[in-house]
Amino acid sequence: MTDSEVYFTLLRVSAAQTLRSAGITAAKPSVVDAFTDLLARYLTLLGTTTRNFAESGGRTQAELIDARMAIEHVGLLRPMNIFTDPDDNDTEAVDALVEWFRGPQAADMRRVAGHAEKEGQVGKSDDWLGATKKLSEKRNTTV
Amino acid sequence: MSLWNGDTIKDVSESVGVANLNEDVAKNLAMDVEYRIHQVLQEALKFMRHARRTTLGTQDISNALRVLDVEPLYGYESARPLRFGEASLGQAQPIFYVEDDEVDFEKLINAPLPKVPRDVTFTGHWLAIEGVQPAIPQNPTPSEAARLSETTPKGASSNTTLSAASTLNPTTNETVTIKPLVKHVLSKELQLYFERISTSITDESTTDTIRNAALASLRKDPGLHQLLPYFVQFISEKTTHGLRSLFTLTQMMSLTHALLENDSFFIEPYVSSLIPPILTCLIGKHLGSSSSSSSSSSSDPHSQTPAHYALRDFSASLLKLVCKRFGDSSHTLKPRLTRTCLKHFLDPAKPLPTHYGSIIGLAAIGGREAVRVLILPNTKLYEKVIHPEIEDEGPRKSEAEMCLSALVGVIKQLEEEEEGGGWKGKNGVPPIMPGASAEEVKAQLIGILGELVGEEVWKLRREALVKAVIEAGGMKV
Repeated sequence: MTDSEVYFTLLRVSAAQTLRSAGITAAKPSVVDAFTDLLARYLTLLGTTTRNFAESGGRTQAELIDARMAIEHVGLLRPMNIFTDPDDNDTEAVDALVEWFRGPQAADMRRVAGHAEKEGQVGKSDDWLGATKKLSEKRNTTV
Repeated sequence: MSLWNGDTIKDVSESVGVANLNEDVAKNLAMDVEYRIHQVLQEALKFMRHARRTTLGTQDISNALRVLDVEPLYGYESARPLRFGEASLGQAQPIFYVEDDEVDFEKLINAPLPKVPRDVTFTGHWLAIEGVQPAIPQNPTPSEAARLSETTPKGASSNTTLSAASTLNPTTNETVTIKPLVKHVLSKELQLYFERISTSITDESTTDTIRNAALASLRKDPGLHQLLPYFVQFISEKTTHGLRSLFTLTQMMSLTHALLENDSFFIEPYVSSLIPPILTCLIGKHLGSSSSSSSSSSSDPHSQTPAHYALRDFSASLLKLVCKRFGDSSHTLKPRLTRTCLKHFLDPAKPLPTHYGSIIGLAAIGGREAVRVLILPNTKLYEKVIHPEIEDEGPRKSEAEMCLSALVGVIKQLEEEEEGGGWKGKNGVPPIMPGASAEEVKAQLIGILGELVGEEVWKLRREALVKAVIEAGGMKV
């Protein structure tokens, strides 16, 4: 398998988990592939936009601020404040995003992905790849 | 006019929702479709050419769409091949569709993860050393190599010679699978040299000076490397056939010594072929002719000339040389030699000269450690073998005595290598060891070494040696 195929296959697992947590149980493989492709392109878009913002700021390494601006640019943060007022402390968009991550949909996605959910702990989850590998081994050897 | 059928356009328009489409509209659209497809294909071909490929891939099309600012087509990244199924419309008109069965997500999620491909790396390994292919995992095994050489076309010359041979000898049952021999081209000079040297060394009638000259030349001359395999083979042959002639064996050992001494030879790959003759001369059962020695019974088939002991000593020293030089580079050399010698030493069925050879052989290979670990514990047991011979004045008394002196000799090594020379007691009386009387010490010594050997060692009057033996013996108990 070439490198890109490996990455695509891994991403497909994640895409399938996302769809599963949304309630879809089965689909045609071409649909899953198309969805995975979308996911890949979206992530690439986020990445390139972040890089562009960083370079505009004269940096070669992207920082958090670049990522945030990219997320806003791409339209992930709603409502978007076009007229940035330095005194404006409106964090409604970011709050909405954080609330989503704490919300039931994200929790369900974590459950499907096999992450243990601890009470009150929201922050960083385990390394997804390591957890998926462990899960895959467990499921494939105990069958 | 265009490749695209109007019907195709109409089908697509129906699927989109436009029910009736005019003929001309369809035709125009068809031309436009063709133009767009050409455009995309041209960009894709450029990508393909720049990537130095000749097969157009989906990635090229994606890149072309990106460059033309067209919305990308999703879902063509996958490496799974598209399978086309056939369904007929009834009038023998097959419709092809992409076979795409629904797949359950649980299966997809729980499927085993793909194997990560290894990075490109490279390492080196020995393909052949001095013409010999080592049996390491990276090299093909002999069966594989034979299979590979069968499939490769043989050279034209060998084919003609083989066919000629088979036609010339229709009556003989020569198998045609004769492997073409590798011809080794030796100069006339070298061939002559080899003949002269080998005959002069093995010829009993030549004088000593000539033989010494031959050996000296072998020892010093550079440029003889090509003859090395022939010399090694010569030694092995003569040793196996010349077991009766002590002279031959001695000469072969001298020849081996000369070969080992020569700096310009890379002799390492031949060490394993040189060892068997050396071992033969060391622990062979019956070296030299069965002609009797001066005083012992002439009718005893077991008596041998005492000169073979000198040969065995020489072989042992050769073995020591080999181990010193090549013991580090080959992991199995020393263990193998030690095992052989030990086996022969401990086998009571073997004749006494073999034991003699194996004793000095063990000491030569392993030095002090071998003596301490291998010989010392077995000395007492060995008593049982030589004691009856010496006590009963049996026919093999001289041999047994030689073995005894060999044992004592190697045990002396225990001490010599430690301090370089013992210290004899004053007035020939062994000095009193602290904390033990002389009698006790002697008893201890005899307990470790057995009666005969113990007596001999005691007679040597070397305190350090006695101490060393008791120490070593004490460990074992």
